[in-house]
Amino acid sequence: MRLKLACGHRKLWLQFPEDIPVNVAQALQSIKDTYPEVYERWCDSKGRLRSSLAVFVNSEHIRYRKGMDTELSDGDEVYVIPIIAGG
Amino acid sequence: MSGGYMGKILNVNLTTGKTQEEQLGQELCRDYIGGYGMAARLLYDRIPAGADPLGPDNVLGLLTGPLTGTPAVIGSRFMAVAKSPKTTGGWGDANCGGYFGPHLKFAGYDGVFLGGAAPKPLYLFINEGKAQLLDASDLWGLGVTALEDVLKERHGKDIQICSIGPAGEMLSLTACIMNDKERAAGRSGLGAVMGSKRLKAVVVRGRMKVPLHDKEKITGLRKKILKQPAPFYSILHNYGTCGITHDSALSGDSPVKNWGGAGTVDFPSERARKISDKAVVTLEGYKAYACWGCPIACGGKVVQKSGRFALEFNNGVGHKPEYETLCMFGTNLLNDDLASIVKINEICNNLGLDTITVGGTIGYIIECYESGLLTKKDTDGLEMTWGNAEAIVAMTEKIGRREGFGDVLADGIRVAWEKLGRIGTEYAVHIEGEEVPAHDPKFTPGLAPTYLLAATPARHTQGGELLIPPGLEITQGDKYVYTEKAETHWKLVCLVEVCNAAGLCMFGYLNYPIQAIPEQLAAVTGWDYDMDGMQKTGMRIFTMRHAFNLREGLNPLTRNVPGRLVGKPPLSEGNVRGVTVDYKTLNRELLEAAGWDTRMTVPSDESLRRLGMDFLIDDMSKVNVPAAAPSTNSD
Ligand code: SF4
Repeated sequence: MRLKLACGHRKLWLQFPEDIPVNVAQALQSIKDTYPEVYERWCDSKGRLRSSLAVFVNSEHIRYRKGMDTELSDGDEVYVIPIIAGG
Repeated sequence: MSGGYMGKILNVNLTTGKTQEEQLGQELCRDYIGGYGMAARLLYDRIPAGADPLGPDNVLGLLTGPLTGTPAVIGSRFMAVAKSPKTTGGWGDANCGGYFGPHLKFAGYDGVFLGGAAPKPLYLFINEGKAQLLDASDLWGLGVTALEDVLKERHGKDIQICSIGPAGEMLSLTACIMNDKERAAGRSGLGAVMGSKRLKAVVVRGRMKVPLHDKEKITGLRKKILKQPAPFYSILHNYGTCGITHDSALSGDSPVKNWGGAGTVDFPSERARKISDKAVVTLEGYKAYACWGCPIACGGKVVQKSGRFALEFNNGVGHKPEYETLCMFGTNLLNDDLASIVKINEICNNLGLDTITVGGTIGYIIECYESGLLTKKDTDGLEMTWGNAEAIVAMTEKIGRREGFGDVLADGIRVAWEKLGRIGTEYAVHIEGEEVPAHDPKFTPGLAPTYLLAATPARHTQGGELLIPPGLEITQGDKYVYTEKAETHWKLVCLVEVCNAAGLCMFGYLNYPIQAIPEQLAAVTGWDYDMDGMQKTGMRIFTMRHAFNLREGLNPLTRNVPGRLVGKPPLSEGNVRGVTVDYKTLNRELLEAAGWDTRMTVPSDESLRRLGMDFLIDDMSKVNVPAAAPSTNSD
């Protein structure tokens, strides 16, 4: 299964075995070793998503699905945005 | 006098032409810092209750803070203040970067208060501590761009200018005050106040140094602070605020289709990208721009010499539009034509218009037009349809010049709605006459009390859950749970009060550890500041501005609340669908925590004493505001 993890113009492609279900939390955890600098920006020391971020799956906020437990399918895009104010 | 202050302000009576220096008291500076804090304290005594905001009794202030023009991160700001002609005569203020603020201090003053009204157009020139009122008859009618060119030709390139364009001269409530051609003190309709005083510009020149209590310490602190940028830094540094346009449209933070639509449906990703981040900074000739002393440089210049929307001034070079402008004229109007927004930015800057106000007003008009309440006959033949870039550009120009239908719109939504016979009330999205900036309380519910309770309504830069600085320990929890938010909210609001009053840019607040602010204040002024003290000072400033409104008979709880802002009814699509913000509970708990009456918002004697504001107790006991209906959890 191939998933896209994106933030702005930065895109990471992740590959998972077809037969094991993967949720948003697991997709984020999977970059801990491969992209530690991105992981640290997104998750705190306890592995929780930072409160200044919002996560979307295929443009839909995960609040409308099952939050971090939202299960992902092949080709899904997990999109992370920082919540900040414009001037 | 402590460090950070030049120690004096200049009072100008424009009716008599007299100028007078006033020494600043230590206590005033320590308790109210500067900017709108100090101004609110002083103008509470100097603007009589009930004064006409566009009459000679109103006083326009341009004030810096103790960190303006110092090595502090980022001391680029000044504030314009006055009683607002826009919000039913409540307190008005607007914050601005550029170069004017620091240079006002280098010219010798922490601020200028301008009262009365000149019999003929004038401008004030402060040259190395010497103030002169000069004839501006030949400058009246000029756009901001040409005005700055003429004044620099006349007085030399080393001056800085704060001015109004034709919109301010014509007392349009959409008017702002400009500096460095393209930086705006946008909100509260203060351009009209300056116009009512027939003051075209304030020009400053000076090379005085701002006294620093501990120069070595503040220089060292700056170095240390700049090494600790938060992740937001790279977005701001690389793109400016246009870096968040796409994501905010997707998330539900930006207004879409006059606050009635959903980004994911009405302005999807591929359209939002056209007016966001890379699309903006890859425009021809892009060059980053920084306000005075700023390491972030979130601004930028672009070149647009040809095409339908070729720029008219500065040899085709203009400032890139920022997030608010991109949303108010982009997502809000379903307009993905970036060149048109670059052009609109030029028109607004040159004529002296607030882009949030004008974009919001045009959104109201387009929706009235699309739903058949207005026709081409009303709109001077312009087809005011969603995304019609040519018509939007043309209408912006008409508003700035009060031409034809533009005259109906030149004072913003509330006045236009009245003049048009109160049509399309649902589409008239404003709070007490102030158009709403491009951040949706349905996405950040904590913004609802910020918009509804602060002295200046509909203001995203007044703190709260939208603006969380790095390094602050707060409990947030689920943003859609509406109770027990008061402690965090007040903390966030009060810290921003001090940031603004100190003369700092909010992007420094959002990019560097918050503890840096009291440290820098202490190093520059020599007074003890810590996080607790900063919060108390912030609450004092918040209360002072609020007291000004109470004395005017204004209760923020009776402000109109546009249904679209709080999800009444809720949206059925997009990423804030189904959300209805329980702003009444948020407001009530905030008032209780502050010790303010929950129906009249009058501060209790005890809460005033806590802040050392005993002088207000008598006045507040006489406040006569309409009481709001009691609110309960079931509202
Ligand atoms: S961050 Fe942007 S707005 Fe703030 S001072 Fe720097 S250039 Fe100006």
